[in-house]
Amino acid sequence: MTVKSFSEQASSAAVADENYLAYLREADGLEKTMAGHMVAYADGERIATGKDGRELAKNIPEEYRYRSLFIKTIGSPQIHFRRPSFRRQGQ
Amino acid sequence: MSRFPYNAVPDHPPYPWVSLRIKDNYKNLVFGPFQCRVDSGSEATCVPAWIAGDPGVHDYEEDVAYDFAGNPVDISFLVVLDATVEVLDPQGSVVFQKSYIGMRFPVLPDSEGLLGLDVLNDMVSTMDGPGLVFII
Repeated sequence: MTVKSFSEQASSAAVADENYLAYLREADGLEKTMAGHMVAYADGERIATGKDGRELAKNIPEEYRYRSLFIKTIGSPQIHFRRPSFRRQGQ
Repeated sequence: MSRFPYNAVPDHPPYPWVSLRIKDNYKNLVFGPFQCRVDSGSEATCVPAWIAGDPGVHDYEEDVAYDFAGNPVDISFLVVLDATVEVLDPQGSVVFQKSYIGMRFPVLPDSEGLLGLDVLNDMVSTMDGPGLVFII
């Protein structure tokens, strides 16, 4: 129950996010050419890439440093939740 | 050695927990401290939603994960490019500290987080079940 509820919330947030949508539009191409790299998006556009978090941080323009950026690791491993819920029934 | 008494919740088994603090050294942000359940079943250390909701300048990621039944679910991550993860004892002293590059912390709707294998595997710890204490 907890995961489903969270999924609904997260789906709404994800759909509305222009940076996530920008990533999805070019995801196929990125997975072919930049697997394992990290990319950063702001204002619906890709603003920096790097082979790891350290290089990406160096490549992000200074004016974006203190803004909330969408960061994606290309081809990152998928998370599997192994428990249904931590919450007791009725909460 | 630092000792963390298990958390006792009515109608549930007592469980080990620690207090965690995450520093974003790139953006000069601090998340926490917040309570984390010690969970060797979780591959990643997870943060509670309330810790990632503010101040709103943190980096983030959206992705698809899989729930307990194998169904795909959307999930948000708190992303920290240059992270320092600290474990604090019940008195607030740092008992474990390690730097990580390019960390992604799944955001959970719960009030507490999870101390998962990505950090747990970097420390020597003991779960003393009969003694109801977690030891680092």
